[in-house]
Amino acid sequence: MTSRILLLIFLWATFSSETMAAIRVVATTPDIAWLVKRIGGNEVDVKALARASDDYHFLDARPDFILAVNRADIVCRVGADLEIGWLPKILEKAANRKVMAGGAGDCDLSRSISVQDKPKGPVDRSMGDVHAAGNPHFWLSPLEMGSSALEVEAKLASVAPGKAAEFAVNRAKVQEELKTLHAKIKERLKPLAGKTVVEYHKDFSYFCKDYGLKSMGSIEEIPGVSPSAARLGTVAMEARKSGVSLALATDHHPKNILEKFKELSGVKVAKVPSSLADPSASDAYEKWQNELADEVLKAFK
Amino acid sequence: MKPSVFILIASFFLNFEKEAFALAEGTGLKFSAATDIVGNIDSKDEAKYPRRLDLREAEFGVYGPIDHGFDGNLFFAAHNENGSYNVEVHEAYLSTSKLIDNVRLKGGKFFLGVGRLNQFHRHDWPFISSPKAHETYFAAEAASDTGIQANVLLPFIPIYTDIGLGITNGWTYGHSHVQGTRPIHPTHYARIGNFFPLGESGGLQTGLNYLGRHSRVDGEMRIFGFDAIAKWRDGKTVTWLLQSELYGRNLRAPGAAMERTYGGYIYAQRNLVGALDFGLRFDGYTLITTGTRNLDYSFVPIFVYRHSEFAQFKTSYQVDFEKRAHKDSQVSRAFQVQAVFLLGDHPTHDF
Repeated sequence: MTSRILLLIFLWATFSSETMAAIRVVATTPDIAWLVKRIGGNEVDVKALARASDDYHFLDARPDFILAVNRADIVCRVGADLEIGWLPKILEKAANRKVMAGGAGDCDLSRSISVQDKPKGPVDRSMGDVHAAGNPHFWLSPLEMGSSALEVEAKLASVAPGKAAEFAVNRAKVQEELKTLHAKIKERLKPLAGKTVVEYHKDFSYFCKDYGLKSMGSIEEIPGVSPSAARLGTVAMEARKSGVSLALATDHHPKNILEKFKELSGVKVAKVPSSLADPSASDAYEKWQNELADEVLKAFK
Repeated sequence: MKPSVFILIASFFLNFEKEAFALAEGTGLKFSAATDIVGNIDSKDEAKYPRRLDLREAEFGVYGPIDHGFDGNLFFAAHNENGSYNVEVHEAYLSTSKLIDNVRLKGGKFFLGVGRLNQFHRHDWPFISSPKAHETYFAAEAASDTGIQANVLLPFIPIYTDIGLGITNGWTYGHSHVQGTRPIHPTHYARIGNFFPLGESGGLQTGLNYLGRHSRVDGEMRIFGFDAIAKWRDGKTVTWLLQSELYGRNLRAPGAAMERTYGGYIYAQRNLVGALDFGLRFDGYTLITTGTRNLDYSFVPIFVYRHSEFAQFKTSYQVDFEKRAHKDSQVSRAFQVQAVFLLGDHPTHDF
């Protein structure tokens, strides 16, 4: 009886879908998972750690994340210190040499993009949640998403050199699609070019840059810290004076503060998802970007 | 170590931060400091909860890669123990997860890898005071010793299963400033940790623990126990936190009869609004082998305000009771306040 159970466990471990997949990739966010799937195709089995509704700055080093990273061939992260509070702990506890810093599976997408908002002077905690490496929210830009595809392709190719040509073709295809998507949305948002928005947190800087919107800055005075009543009053007045037409916020930003801002400034507020919802759908990124554009257009009507 | 030496080292790194970071450039060396200030504002038992505001502990740590295989960790702490600050090496160990896949190793002086609270520095606990069972079975903060520990994350199994085994000198136990004596059996322990996701935003981590030691002076001790923590998160806020540890201990002092005790705590914390949480802890501790019904228990309601990830303030009202042969009596109480702040390297968000 014992030998039969052991045989079953062995067969299950050997032939389970997890072990049959060619390349096991863990992505920290759904957007990266989508990109990896588009480039890796059927050669990859991708798992996203965070959900679209999560605040990627504030996740825990959950043991199920540790388990996923332990089994991974590649771990792809946004980088620019976005995951600094939780990913290093996960990597340490996962004890998987392949995905540690310098390993073949160490994939940091911020390496292949032009990071915005890099602080010019010294950074310290009195400035709040300022990322010394720059603004990490680049996945809201189709163009930067396209650039980051290079890192994904390189890592997949280093793990499966025999499939490198396939990954290069897929990468070129997804980059082309992202360029086309960018052009389409830019056309849709053309009437709004030069209009000014205000962001709750600096999540939308790349989005604004891509589509010609001006950002007045953020409602938060200190990044990552809820604005005080005095700050809300000041920024509301400033927004009104500057002719700001829209405040952009993500689903996890505080509803009550945004409502107060709307009341004080008279500026419309659009709460939008900060990430795509279903990384397994090939058109998920396009749908999500169009959803963002719809919300912006709706607010300006 | 003399306090002056500690202050000298800490000043070097903290006051001359730029120079220290310049020295560390290219080495991956990181610094952190933590300060834990605790006060008893209103107290029924002056001996247990003296009415004063004190620096309970200041900790200073340096850590980083030693080479391509090992990391080094060195933490100094100054504790307030009965009015005098004892500066000591809190932890000093080398560790690696880079040598063997699925395996983490550490060697040196460290907090023993058993239970929940014992693996965390006190300023990272969700409450101010130490539950009686934790203090009795481990130490006011943590049982630490010098030895080796190995953790294996079991491959192939679809559930997170981490097995930790450790063996340490065992000359002393808990938190000690003496050399101790050579034990008959050194301190040895094991923990099996598991994790189960709860819905989309929550999870439950459990641990089964065993610790044993046989000393000529202190006798033979075996501790068995269970720890669990469940958390639910919404964005940056932990909406619910449930944490518990339950232990049983058999202790046979030299020439004495076996003493069997049970103890533990249950803590529940709910986010009220924004950065403000409310928690309630119940502690219990009972000696089974006396033949008389007895229970020491405490209720500890607590408010936690997180100004940021790096600074938090707590207030709690601890009420301690004794039950002796069906009679309950309040033995001590205290209104406590705590301020904790962290400097330096970004703290990790452990589950």
